Amino acid sequence: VKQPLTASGPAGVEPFGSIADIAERLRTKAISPVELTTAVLQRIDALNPHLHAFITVTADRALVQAERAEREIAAGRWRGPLHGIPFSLKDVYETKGIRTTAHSRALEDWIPERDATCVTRMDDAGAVLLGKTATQEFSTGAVTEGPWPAARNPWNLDYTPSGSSSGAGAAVAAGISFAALGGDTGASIRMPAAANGCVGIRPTYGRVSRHGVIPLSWSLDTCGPLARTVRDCALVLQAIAGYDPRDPGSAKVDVPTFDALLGTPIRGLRVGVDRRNFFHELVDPQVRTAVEEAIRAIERLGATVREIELPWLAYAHAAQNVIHMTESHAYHETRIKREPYLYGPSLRAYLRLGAFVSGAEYLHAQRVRAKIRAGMLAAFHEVDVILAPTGARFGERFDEIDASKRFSGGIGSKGNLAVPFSQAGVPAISLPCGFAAEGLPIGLQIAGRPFDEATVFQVAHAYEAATPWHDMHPPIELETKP
Amino acid sequence: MSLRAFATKDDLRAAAREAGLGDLEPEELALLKIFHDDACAFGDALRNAVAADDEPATVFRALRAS
Repeated sequence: VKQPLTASGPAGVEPFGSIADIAERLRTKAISPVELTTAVLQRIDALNPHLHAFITVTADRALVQAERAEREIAAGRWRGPLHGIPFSLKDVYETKGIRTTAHSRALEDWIPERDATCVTRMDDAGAVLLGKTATQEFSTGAVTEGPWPAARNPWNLDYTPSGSSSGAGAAVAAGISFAALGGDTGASIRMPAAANGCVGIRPTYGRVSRHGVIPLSWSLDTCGPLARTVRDCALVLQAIAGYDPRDPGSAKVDVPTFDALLGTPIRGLRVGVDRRNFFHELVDPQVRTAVEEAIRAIERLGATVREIELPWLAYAHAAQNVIHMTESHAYHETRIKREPYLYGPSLRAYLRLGAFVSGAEYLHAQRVRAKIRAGMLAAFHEVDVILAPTGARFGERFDEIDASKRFSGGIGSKGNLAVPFSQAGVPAISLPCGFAAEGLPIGLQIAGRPFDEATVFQVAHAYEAATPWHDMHPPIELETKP
Repeated sequence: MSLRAFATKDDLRAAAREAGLGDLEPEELALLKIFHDDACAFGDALRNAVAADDEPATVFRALRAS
């Protein structure tokens, strides 16, 4: 397949429009939810055979939801900014009556009898579900080993969209979903956001319910949104955040208005940069250059940049991997012993690996993690946010995938710069901050204090507003039909 | 079981069997061996890390947090 890809659609629907803009057009009836959903479904038809972002497209249900939204808006019952907005779910969210596969043969035909809490909350907000998106097998296997094709990066189909919310990132970037819900255990929202040139936030651990979401690693798992702008991410997080007694990790804390600080100057905010731990030898020079320029841009906006050095991060990946492999093994233990052939080869090996971890080693990992968290919380007495690259690299070609290098260059290596914030359980966002010479996006990561997503959004939005990256889209030509 | 290196693939094969993972095919064993060898470095790193932690109560905080 040669790029640019071509998609068609009716006039008047901007596929890369923001939720904030489209919501106003929906509210004022300048466009109808049915027109909007139909346009996006047509675009999915044209692009998904090349991108493989969706495993399942729920077109009929989407149109029913869109018609409902249309009736409600016409009757003056506008529910808010997600009313009538088409979105997608990583295929680990349970959806009542809709196949939920985790991109694995093990769940190939599983149809849940309930909706995940996040699905219910998006429904309550009036959003329109387009379908279920591709992932790495059970959010951690190799992208190429599931029973459906791997999602591809819309910027260059020879590259992966990263993962594990791979289809989510590809769909949002390609303009076939206005937002997507993903999952982030180590980096799985932020890395695909970076790889696809969109925005994704891992919320504070406990901020968003995981009830009805297939687990990967209980003490690390989070759910969160990907979208094309910072404000859109804030709007979606607003809809899904909040305490849920059905998730034992859910936090009973107030939910602020996440976009309240957007547009507020960041002059005087204190920004921390830890160059020893986040700009090490594995960081690609193009990534380094782009992120250093982003730091200077944020400084020009009035923030004060200071060097910090976070303690214990030398052990972050050891702790992350040991916790992750142990908890993953625990979840899959019965099936990996009885029906290992249902898993792809690399996930099979990874899930088996967890059987070798001793109780003491798991506790060592949790203990180190507690030190990492304590060190980071101490740093947040000195700074308001921490900036870092999202990943050490900017892209991975499909023909360079080597699943055996999971820990020696892959997602389990210290090139995964999202991990320290996952360990600490703090919120962290990735947004575009430039492009490599190869034409692939690079991500900037901004982390904040626990439950202070609002400040993270504030800084991210200020940077976004001062730079052009969010207005750049993959090479997809739109043939407009009258 | 623990994240400590096995001398040979046969040792790993026997340990996998003992762990209830069954008899692994050669290619399965090869990939598991690579992962296990890498993971042993994590086990060593964590043992070194906790040895440097002079605050034993950390482990209770860790359990509460997790």
